[in-house]
Amino acid sequence: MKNKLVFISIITALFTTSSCKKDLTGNAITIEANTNDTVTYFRIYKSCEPGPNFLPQGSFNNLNYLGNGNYNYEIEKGYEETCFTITGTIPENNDSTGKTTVNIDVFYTEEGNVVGFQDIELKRPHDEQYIRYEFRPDTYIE
Amino acid sequence: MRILILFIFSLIKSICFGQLNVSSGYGHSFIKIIDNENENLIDWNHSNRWRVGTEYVFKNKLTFSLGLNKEVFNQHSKTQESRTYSLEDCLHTETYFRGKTKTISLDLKFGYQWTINEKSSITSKIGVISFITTSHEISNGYKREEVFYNGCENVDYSQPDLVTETFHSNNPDYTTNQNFFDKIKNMYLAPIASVDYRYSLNKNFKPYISFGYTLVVGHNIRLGLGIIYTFKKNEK
Repeated sequence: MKNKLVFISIITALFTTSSCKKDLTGNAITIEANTNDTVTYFRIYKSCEPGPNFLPQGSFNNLNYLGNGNYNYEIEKGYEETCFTITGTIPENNDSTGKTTVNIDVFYTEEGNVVGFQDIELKRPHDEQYIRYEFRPDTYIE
Repeated sequence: MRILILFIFSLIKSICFGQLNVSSGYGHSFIKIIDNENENLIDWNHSNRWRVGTEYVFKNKLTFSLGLNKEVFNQHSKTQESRTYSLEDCLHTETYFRGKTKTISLDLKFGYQWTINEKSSITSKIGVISFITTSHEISNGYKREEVFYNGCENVDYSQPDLVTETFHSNNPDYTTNQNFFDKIKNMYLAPIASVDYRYSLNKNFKPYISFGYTLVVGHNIRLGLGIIYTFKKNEK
């Protein structure tokens, strides 16, 4: 009887502790990007799953071009996606000197905390270069 | 056939005259991570665990145990490597990672108990341990990749052709949206070996210290201490 009790307790504990789920929050996120060149097809996908043509699965939105090489995009509060991908293409540059730079910063709009960043620097002249940056915001309450 | 009957008979006899123990304790692991890409051992990592378990000691001192562990791995690593990849480009990578992985594990072990004297004994066991990752978080993850188009020989590290720096901060627990069966699917098994030293305080309670080894995350050296409660011996 005692043996049974021990085994039942262990199995119950295993199931209880492993199957707990947390609640979603999805705080608003701001994406800011800038470049000293141009970036084409600068897009955000609400997925990190690989899709056709080496692009992520699902639909996309273009980042908003603000002029002078600056872009932004806001992911509104309440999203349920757990992973986002930013893609783009840096075109070929045949200048003999200098560097092409692209900086992407992702942060929580209200809190200001950094989610992540990606900085790219290419020595000129250079070929076409693809951008693929994945980030996972904290969508769960601890 | 006779041998089989004899074996079953001796097993049943052992079970009837065996002894049941339950144990609980705390453990700390020192883990040397194996870097799969360059097969080098990198930084020491640590984990803390809390354990409950049960054990049956047969009359012939063979033991069978089952343990449940809640384990938190505090992982960090810092690597730096250069290698040639496609089209003879040279890739120099620096990474820094700090994160936390929470697991639940179930271990199943068989072994033998050696009696040193009336109060002390040593138990050695081998078995398997199955890990289920309940959550995984990246506190900080940084990667700097430098590409040199003319190969790794005679590289001027101050003049990379392409630099990509990627940073992740407080990345979430992406396993929390998995249900229990998804987590079971991602379960992994590892061999485990351990040696315990036990000392009887009285008829029922025995503190123990243990030393173990398994291959989880890397070379995982497991130290532990705890207490064993012995149920009254079944000596019908």
